[in-house]
Amino acid sequence: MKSVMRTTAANYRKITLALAFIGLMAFALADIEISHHDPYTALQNMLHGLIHPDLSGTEYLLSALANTISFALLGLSIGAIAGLILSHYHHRSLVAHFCAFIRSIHELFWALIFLQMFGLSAITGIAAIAIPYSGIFGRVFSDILSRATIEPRLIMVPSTSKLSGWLYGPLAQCWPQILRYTRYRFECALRSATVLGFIGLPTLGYYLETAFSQGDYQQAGGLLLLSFALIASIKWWLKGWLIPVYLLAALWYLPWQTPLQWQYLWRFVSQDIVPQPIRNAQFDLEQLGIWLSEITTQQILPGIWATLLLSVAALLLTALLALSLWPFASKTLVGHGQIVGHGLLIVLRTTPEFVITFIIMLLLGPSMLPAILALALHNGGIIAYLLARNSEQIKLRDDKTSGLNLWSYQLQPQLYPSFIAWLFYRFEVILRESAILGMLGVTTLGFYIDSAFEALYFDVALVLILATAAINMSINYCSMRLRKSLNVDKLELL
Amino acid sequence: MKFTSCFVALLILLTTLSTGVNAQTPPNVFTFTAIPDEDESRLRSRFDKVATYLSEQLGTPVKYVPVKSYSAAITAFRNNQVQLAWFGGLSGVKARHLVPDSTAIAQGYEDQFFKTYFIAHHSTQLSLGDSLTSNIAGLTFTFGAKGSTSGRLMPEHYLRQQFNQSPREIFKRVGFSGNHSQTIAQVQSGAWQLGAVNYKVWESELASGKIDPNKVNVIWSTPTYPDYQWTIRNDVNHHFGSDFVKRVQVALLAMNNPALLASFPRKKFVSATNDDYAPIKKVAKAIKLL
Repeated sequence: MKSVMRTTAANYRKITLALAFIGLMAFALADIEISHHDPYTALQNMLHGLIHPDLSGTEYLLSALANTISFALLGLSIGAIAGLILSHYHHRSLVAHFCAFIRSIHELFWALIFLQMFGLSAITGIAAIAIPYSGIFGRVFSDILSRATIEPRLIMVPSTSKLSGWLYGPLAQCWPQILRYTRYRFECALRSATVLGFIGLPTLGYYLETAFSQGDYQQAGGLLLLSFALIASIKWWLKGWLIPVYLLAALWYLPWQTPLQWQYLWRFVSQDIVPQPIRNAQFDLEQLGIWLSEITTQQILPGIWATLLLSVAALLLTALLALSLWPFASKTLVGHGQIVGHGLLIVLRTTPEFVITFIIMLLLGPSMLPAILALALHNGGIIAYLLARNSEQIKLRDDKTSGLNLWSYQLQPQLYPSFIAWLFYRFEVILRESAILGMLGVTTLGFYIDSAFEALYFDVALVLILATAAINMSINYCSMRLRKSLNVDKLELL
Repeated sequence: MKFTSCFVALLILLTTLSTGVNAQTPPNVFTFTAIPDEDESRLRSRFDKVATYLSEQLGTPVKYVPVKSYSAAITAFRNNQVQLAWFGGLSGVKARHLVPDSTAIAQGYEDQFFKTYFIAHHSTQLSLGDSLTSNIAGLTFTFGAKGSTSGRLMPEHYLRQQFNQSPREIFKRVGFSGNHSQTIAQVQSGAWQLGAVNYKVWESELASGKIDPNKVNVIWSTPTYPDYQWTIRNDVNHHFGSDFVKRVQVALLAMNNPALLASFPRKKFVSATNDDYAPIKKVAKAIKLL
């Protein structure tokens, strides 16, 4: 007789099988044709560039470096403070939805919006990072804080104010995790700041994009290596007591001169983003309907379809990559050999997806495949890194086994819950990041948003951005329900 | 709550920092931007020299601001962050549409008769013809940047004219490589079978040996059309002197230092008017890019 066991392990098996199934479906439906003829010349040039990096041709390199760090630091700090406040109210569904909304819009799109209002100024760069990061912090901090125990509160005198109670209770208890997460996010903020350069802010990405699109691979190689070094060396230059110094320096350094002109801000809000049929106070609702349905059928629906195929296929590959890569970066498993693994993971997670897609596209031709691979390499690299780091914190008995046995019977099973949790979380990120790849020509929603901004149709862009946010939020909601129903939602995120 | 008020205070501080300093000052530095159609490296170093030249000619401080895309250039022009811009044909038309009180004052000598080359990878076995062959239907095709005149607008116009279909209907796959150098590189590598490219970029890359004629070749050249031009906001006359537009035009037309002209790269500048770009405007309206 066969009995059905509703064990936790059975739930993980179910989730894993479901992931494999929909992932394979996506691969079957996606356009993954390989169409290349002779990519070798281009590849040779690229390799040559990486081996012989040359930064001498890059102008204003130091200022680009300083801008990148300044945007990241200020954006992250504002995001973290706002996130801490939001986390306090995150149990209210309105706040939770608000957080989900602001983080479902990619930094690049926030930047494109602010670009219309503030131009190429410091505010554009900082706000583009601070806003989505507030949403991310709001959620993650509330997750972390919700795991605090109430004992500290019980021993406080009854007259303790709410704020003190919170500071010395949950916050003090969770401070190490909050710090650890914020630190990790700083790395992401540096990457975001770099990516903002692709649309013209004066960060490292500005020159990286130029070098790549001009085929100047020596310079591109140099800039890539520089960004790897920047992220790999964070632990040596970002010390707690130095942060206030850095913040002040960043405030002082950034170019604030661009005058804020309210009339342009107002024009953007009151005219540019108002749907074209109802602009100029002629409320032609019929025209508005036609306008909306045209955007929906020609852009939103095909965009959503491509976005979903791309993201789900990338999720499956991400999972496989993360599972196979993390052991090589775990000290517990490979000892000092972990340096090699960690090096590889830094390269994977630091190289902007834009660059990976670009390189793979020259190799495999234009289809969804380069974008799928790029998203998987990048996110797989991040999850593998988190798994490796967590594996080192698992307490093992002195008579533990080693090698394959240690990996398959002790570490991997213990890490699997966190793996699934991160995978769910990264899916949200993959959806958002598929947007940047749209800018490279894969027809995701991001492609249509970029086209609308390029054509200066801000009303269309706004509708598309809202559609993107709606789809991201509903997927987020479904994944939350799924996790609850399978009882895998109470997991440590970091 | 204390915490919230701290945060609000920080926000206020940031806003005052950003607005307080120069909030209401009119632009006292004449600022321009330019995106050349090829070689976007070292933009600031190269165009700072042009700024120095203009500054000497006009007797007023001149600054160059680098931008990344045509749309960013238009936005900067519209928001008065730059008062003068070296636009492509299409971006100039769009900018003048958004800033009605602005004029095209000069174009490159070559821009009076610009053209686009359709190029093909050798595996397609297509060769140069007097007209665009219908055999291109069903292949893969890449434009340049989405907002480019020679890499997007005009090629799309001629494709629609010949096939009466949108590019997505004509071709198996359509892409945007981002710029002309990339279009050439990606068609040469076989990633795309066909591409549309600015003729000047093609010729200069051919001359510098970046193109292997055995791998990629021109299959058709479009008729000529007007392209890049200098466009200026007429309200500069209020800030910099009543005949400022005229003086800028004179300075641009008088630019004869090859080192400066090489940044664009153009042989020299000749005068232009808004009407010169009527054909571009018509095409842009027809394919809904305006």
